[in-house]
Amino acid sequence: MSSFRRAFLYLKRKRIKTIILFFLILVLATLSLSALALKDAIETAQLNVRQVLGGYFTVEANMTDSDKWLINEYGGKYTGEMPTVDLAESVAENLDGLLGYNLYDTFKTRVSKEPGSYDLPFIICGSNQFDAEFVSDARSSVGSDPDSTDDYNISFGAHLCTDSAFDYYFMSGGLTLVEGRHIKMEETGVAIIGEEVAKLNGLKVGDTVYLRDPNLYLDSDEEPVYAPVTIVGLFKVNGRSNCEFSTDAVENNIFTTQNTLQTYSVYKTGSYTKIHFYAEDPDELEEMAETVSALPQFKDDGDFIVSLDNKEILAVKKPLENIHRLVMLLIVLILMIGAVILWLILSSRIKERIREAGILLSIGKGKGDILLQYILEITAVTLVACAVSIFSGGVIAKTAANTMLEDTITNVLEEQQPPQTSSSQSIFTYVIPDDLQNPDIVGNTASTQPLTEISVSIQASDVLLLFIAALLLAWLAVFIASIPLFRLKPREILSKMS
Amino acid sequence: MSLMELSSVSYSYDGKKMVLTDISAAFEERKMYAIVGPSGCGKTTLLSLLGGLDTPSSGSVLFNGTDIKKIGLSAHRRDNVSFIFQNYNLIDYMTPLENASLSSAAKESALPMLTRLGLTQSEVKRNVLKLSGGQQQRVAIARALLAGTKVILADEPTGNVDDAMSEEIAGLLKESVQETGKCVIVVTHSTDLAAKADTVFLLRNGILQKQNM
Repeated sequence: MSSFRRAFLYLKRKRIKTIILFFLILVLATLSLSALALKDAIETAQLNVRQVLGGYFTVEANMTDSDKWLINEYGGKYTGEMPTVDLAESVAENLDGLLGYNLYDTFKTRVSKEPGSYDLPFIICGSNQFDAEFVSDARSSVGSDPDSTDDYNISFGAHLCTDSAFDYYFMSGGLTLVEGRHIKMEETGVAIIGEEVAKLNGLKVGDTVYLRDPNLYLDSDEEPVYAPVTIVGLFKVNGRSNCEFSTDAVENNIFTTQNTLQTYSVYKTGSYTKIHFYAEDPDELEEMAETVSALPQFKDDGDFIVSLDNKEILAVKKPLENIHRLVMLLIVLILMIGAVILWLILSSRIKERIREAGILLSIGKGKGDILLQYILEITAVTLVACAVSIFSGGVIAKTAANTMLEDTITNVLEEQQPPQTSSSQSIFTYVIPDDLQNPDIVGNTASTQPLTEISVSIQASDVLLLFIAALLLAWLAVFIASIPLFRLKPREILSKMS
Repeated sequence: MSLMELSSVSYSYDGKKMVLTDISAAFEERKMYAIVGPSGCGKTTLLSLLGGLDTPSSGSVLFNGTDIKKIGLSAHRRDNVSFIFQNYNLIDYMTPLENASLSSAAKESALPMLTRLGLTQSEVKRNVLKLSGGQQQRVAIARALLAGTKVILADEPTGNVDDAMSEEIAGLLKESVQETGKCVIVVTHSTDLAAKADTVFLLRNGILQKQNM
């Protein structure tokens, strides 16, 4: 009778022993798999937290060289090199793991529905006591006198970007694209506007508006250029702009490209104010910033400087790493304790089966043949238990994630959250520092949620790892448990049987 | 030539006190041998050496003139000898049919053999531990006979059964000698069983002596 047949008969006829062993391995496999799933979930959560916190490094002109400033009676003008697309591309070539980058600049623009018509009204969201009055007055004049050539004399903010998907506002969660698509620098005559502005003006994706230079009024002598621009996307502001006047509010910004600007504006610079670089894993930002700093353009008194903003990431990094370490420790403990329990149970079982081993030896079966039978038995039980644990492990992991981890990570994040002030860089407020034309957004409600949401799922790699580890442990336990038996001579085994 | 032979076999558990001393004996096909002697004299040890369950301290055990160490002890147990034990030694999670065919390549022979040995169709498929002692011993005998080996080594095969069953088992062993030409070597305290043997050896003080019949 073959080892396979004997193993099958043992598992079939010794049902209670088989079921006990099955449940033991099932518990161990479930704990291991759920711990592995939690480990993956924590790693994903760590990455999510880092990405949501929006770490980036900035490349901008090095304006510390006084020789590059032109001073006159009106003030100072920087004459040095400004960041360009070529610079961004040359930096990107030197970086691995770069998620993307965006060059941006801000201007003002006038927006109308038709060439020669009134400026579009925008929404009121400034904190200055005269802001509402200022905008309302301008609004009330619309349509009151169809022949009037007056306009609002107020401008939208033109936020020029090379890739709006990697614009700071979108990357940080301050803005969310709710309809349409993002824009890229190669495009001309495209724009993304705020959904509130669109609603106020009865605009939708696909509609055309006309942009013109902010310094050319309807009644000016110079004929303005009206650039037709198609609305390709609408954004939602997660919170409110923290600004004095509505003209500066992100809500009233129009995201477009430099190609578009150059079709109607007198400004034709070809350069940008800053470049924001984002890493696939923001944990690598520091290393990336160091790499860039070592490039010739950035050394010592180079034309450009690199500044890193990863304070939030550093603040939450350690506590999250501790949670990760805890789960890893849990996995190791489960495996070690599981291996010991399995070994103890199998040792006891194999001792009980000394008679069977003696009988098999007496009919000429080798020790290897008997060991193979034990291994086949444990393999069959382990495979079934591990397969079932895919379901039970998923349930346990989700429960554990929902009840324990989310709370723990939330606590970690809250502990690390600095006091909320209008200028602070908390994880709930998005700020572009030292940039008056880019107001911060406060009271963000959309981006806090992903920080604490733990998405747990059983990965195929975890299942594979579980099967391999469980089988190796089970085989090792059988092998070690069999050593005392197989060190005996057949006659000694038969004596013990007697 | 003898089928099995003990050549100057000595055995000691601890290397000091000899249990078996310089034993030489030959065992032939178509014969039944009985080894008798007081308890603890080394009868089972001698049977273990013949069956390749242990190795002698000195001397050798030969099968068809070849040292069983050269054949390989496992191979010797598988191909050349079969055991019948006093306590039957059946595997508890197997049916009588499965126990009987444990060492047999020809599974189809197991049912006729068990039927011939008096087990019913339903008995051969039930849990082996639910059979009586006599029935269990018959299953053990069936396993030994079905193994197809030339030698059967029986250690107190009638030790746990009543007189009637003892008589029946002795008859079965004798029958296997006569019908299949096997060499049966029985270790026993039973004078009735020993009386059925062709040759009786007395083991005492480590010395094996042939008894006159």
